[in-house]
Amino acid sequence: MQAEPTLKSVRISPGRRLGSVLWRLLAVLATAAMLLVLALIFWTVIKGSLPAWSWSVLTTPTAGLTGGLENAILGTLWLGFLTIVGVGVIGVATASFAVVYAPEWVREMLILMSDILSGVPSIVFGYVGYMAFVVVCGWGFSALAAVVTLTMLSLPYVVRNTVQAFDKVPVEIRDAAKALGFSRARTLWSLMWPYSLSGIATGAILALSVAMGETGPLLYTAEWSDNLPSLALTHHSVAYLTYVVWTFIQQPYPQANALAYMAGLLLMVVVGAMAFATRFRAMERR
Amino acid sequence: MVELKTENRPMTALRLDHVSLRVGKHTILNDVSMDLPKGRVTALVGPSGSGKSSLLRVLNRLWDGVPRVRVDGSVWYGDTDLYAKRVDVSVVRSHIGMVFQRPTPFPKSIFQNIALPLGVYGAARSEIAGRVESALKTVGLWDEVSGRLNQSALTLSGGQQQRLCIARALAVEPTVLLMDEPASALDPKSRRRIDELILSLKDTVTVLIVTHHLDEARQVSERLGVLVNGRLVAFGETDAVFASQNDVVARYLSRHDEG
Repeated sequence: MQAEPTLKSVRISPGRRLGSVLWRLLAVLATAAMLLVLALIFWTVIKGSLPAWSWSVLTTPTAGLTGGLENAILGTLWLGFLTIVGVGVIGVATASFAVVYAPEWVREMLILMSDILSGVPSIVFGYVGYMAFVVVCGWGFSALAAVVTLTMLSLPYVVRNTVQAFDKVPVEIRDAAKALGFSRARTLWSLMWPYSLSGIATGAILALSVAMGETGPLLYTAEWSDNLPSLALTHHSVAYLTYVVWTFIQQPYPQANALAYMAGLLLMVVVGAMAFATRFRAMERR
Repeated sequence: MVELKTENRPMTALRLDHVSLRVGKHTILNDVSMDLPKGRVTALVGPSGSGKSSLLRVLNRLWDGVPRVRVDGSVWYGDTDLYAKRVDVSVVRSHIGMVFQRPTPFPKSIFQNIALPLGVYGAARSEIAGRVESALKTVGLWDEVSGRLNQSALTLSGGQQQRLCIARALAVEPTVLLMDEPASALDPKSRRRIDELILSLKDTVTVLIVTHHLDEARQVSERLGVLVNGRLVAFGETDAVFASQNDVVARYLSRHDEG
């Protein structure tokens, strides 16, 4: 006859219990460390920007190392808007081609190339953008040169996310569309795009936040301007927030330093709001 | 665009002429020949992996564009070899519809699910609503959904979704309907409804249905094909095939009945 299993034998051994406690502790510590870093950043930036705060920061452009940030805010939004249009169109088109039209090896190749693109340091994009668009194309320091450069730089984020979103469309649904005689263009238009809208949006907003946070490529292509951005796409320098962060922080004037912190805070708020918006959308969809 | 004519062979909707299918080095279908009589239900049975679904996909050219796939032989639709050059696949698929094992409603409204393919084939805007209604009536779904045509098709039950998919396929008025185990993912009641629906399609549409259920095959079909290892080992009147003394056929059919 077999012995009755005793409670002792099913109890978690002390060793496993210890291991479990240790891992849990480690996870909690790691999370705490991350939150600490985040808090430190916010603390530093908010504290540094306090002296510069007044509503007029939003409504007056910079004047040398003083003034407000209106030109930089509008410039960043303008460049961001143009970039999301460019990267959205090119990125979704590339992903559509890769998933729906291209043979397997071309698809893999495109994704690989997109990954390589995401590994290129942004300052290299800046230099290439400068040589190709500012000099060779003759656009000068301009919104166009900056936007094309930012588009190249942020393209992988849109391509990756869109390809992933397309791959989530069930094969059966695509087969059903095929069996109904849908052309590939029609399948894309009526099914793949609507189905993947949320994934595409996530990629586009990620790309946008990356693009808006860039400094190097813009130094080479947009230069800087004390004026508000104009609608002219070429031969007009554009102001942007990261320039203020990058340049004003190195100045020996407390006023300029405070503006730099303020520019950083504004960027964080805008990018954070966008990240939040995507999260929120994703959660709503569920 | 190639016009597909059927007049010259009034009795046959589709004729498979020595059809073989290879994927890479594997032979999936080996020299299959059969005639689908017009306006009748033909059932295709066989063990898993015998190539039943693959055969269906040959008939509406769903293998097109799949790498390393090769189709040999001919599929005659009237006077047209579907695999001849310059045959427009999308025209083929408008004549030969398909319903899949699992319901495949598009993540759109019930109405849009049927209206979308109609639009693809250039149905006039004014007639779309009417054709959606009549398609839904054909599959007996109209009374259940007429009040909520604008709701997502995904809110329907599995059985309703499958009937919606059949309605969607029928709306473009195909002459042949391929059904790949259309009831196997459904509960018994929905299964019975699908079977009744298939029987009601008789005379208007030629049906080729793949099924695992011999009962279903016996009930709905007039012709029966038995596919084993990619070969058509029996094909003929359903009752005759069930009565067949052929070793392979009898073994498959009896083993299945017991199980």
